Amino acid sequence: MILDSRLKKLLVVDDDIIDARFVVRAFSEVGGGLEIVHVDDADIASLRLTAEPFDYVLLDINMPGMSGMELLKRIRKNEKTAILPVIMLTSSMNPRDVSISYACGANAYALKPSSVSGYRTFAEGFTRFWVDVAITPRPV
Amino acid sequence: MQDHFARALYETFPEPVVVVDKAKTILSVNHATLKQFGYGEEELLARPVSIIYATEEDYASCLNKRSVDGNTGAVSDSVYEYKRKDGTVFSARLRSTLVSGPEGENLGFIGVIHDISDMLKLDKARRNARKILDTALAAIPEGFAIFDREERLLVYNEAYRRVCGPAGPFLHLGMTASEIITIAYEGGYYPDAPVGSPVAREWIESRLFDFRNPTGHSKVFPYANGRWLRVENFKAKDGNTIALRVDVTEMKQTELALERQRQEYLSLLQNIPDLVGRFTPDRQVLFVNRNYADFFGTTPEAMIGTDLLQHVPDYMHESTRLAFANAKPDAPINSKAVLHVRPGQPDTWILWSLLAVFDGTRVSELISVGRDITMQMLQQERIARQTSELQRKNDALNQFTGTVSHDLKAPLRHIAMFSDMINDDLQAGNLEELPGYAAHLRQSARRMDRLIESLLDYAQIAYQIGNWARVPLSDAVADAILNLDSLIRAVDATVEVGELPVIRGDAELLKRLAQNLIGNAVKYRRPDVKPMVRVYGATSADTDYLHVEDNGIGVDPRFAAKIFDVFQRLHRDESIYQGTGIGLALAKRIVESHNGRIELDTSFAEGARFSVAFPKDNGSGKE
Repeated sequence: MILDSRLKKLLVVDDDIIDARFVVRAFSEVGGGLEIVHVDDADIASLRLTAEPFDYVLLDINMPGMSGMELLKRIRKNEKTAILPVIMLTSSMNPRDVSISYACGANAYALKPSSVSGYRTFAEGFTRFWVDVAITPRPV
Repeated sequence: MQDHFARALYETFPEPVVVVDKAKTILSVNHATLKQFGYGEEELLARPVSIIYATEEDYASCLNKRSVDGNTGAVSDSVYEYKRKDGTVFSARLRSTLVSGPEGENLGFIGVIHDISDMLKLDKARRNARKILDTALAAIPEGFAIFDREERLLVYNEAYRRVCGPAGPFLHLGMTASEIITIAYEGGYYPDAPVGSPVAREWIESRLFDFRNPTGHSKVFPYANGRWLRVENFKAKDGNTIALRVDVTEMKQTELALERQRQEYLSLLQNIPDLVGRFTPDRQVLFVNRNYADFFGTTPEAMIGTDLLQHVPDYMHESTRLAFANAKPDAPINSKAVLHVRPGQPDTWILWSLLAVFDGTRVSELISVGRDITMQMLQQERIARQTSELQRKNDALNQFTGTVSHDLKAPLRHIAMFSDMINDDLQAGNLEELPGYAAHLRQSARRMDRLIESLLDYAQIAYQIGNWARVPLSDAVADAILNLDSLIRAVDATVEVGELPVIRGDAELLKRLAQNLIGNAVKYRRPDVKPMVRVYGATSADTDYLHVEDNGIGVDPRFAAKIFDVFQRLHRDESIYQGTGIGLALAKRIVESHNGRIELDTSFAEGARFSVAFPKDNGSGKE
């Protein structure tokens, strides 16, 4: 195992400020040692991703302006972020959204929980797998 | 001396001469007699003359003849049968001369026997020939007759008698042509000239004229009971007139049946709704039915014999010329649907088919058939329109359900989570955050309520408008501005209204459309600029336009299509730009229910400009 002492960075892209707050809160309760940045606009997210290195992206689909799906495509097109792990976190249960997301290069697809414990479970699962288990490329 | 000459004449006379006495005993025969009968002189002399007759009857009639004639003349002339020595028989004319003595007593006879068997043979042949001719004439079904210069009947056959009808029984040689016609006419034999009719005289005259001036051409006219007669007259070199009469009823009936069939086909062609025409390869009109001519605003009579191009409208010239020029054996039928837009006429779709008839590889004739397929085309268009409409509605529904489920679920999720938080904090005895959570709960519930209200609004706009009316857009805009009055006042906005067209539509929906567009224009203002909204119209041949433009924050051209979807907001911060994101979706739905289009004019950079196009023919008349 390659030990990486650097703090991993997660970009949360969601226009729903309340949902974002729950995400941040759940991750901090789990205490996985992640630095979390929240932006509520896909355009801004796109700018941030080119400006600074992130280890993961949590991405909502339905957003005003550019949608999460558009941002996903843009991330994959950009050489710098082409292999960045992107996990979709959305309220859409539409099977079309699931398959299109994976087709566009999403690494996982999860539904937004509708309870505090649900968020905690999600944050735990995320941390255990992506932070503790999975080996991910070094961000550039 | 004289005796000597007489003797020589007697001896050399070419025909047999027999001298008999009173008792009918042969006194003398000349050389020709011996030669003719084959006897030696001694075999005849002093024998009764009866031996040279063929039969007793012939001899008896010869004797009789003289007594019957009463012995008055010295010379008698008759034909009898004679018999030669070898038994052969021949006919001969006997010229017998009574020879009287000085006191008038009967001395005997001199008989000159003229062999006429050759003549008889000839005559028999002639009679035979005549008989053959008569039999033949009687056998042929054509009526045959010969009239002399005075129009008297010389010869006729049985068939001629038959076709003379009522005149037949009276037919006899020497009867005149005029008499025959008159009797037949009086017998009611000529349907064209009923007895006593005013035309009868003239008709008989014309028949006689034809008879007297034969042209060699035949005439056919009705006779007897529904029968047809062909009449031919010929002038012979000897001045006689030969009359031929042929019953052509069967031929005529066939001809009439054919003509009837032709008329039936013609009437069929005239009565079918299709346009049908026949043309030479260089487009000369051979035949067109009435529908064909009507379509080009002319008559069949005016078209026949002319170039088709003279009659087709300008826009069809080139295609017609090419279609005629390009007929090829491997593609003998060339079909094309053409939309005809003619002044004063409804637009018509015609499926034109040009069929080339080939004589080998050369086009011998072209047949053009036009079928009105306007109904089918309209139906097709309607189906295509309905299909795309259905597709659009399906897509809209998909987008709608996706969005609605997402947007409705968000506040529900929040309510559930804040309830969790309140519960957790209560159990932990931590009361500080509770009022904040409660506020979030209320907010979420209110948002939910607004979303449901918006959805109801949206759902209530029917895609199909029930009551179409003429709506002045200026009225709709004025009403909308009145409803927005407080908002306009609050931000001190200026709304400038220009010329607006009158369109067909639903007044209430159009007011809401204007209200949404103007409301948005006022709402999305720049914080530092006084809002200025311009509403104006335009009109073209087939479309009316409504434009609403502002000097506000504008819309990113990337989202020009997305902004018309339900609950799509470009601005997440509801504290600045409030709304659920239903306004433009609603506007779009209203425009589409008017069969129109709405779009963001992305070329307009000073703010936002929305353009609505209403087709003048928006289907309100038909649906």
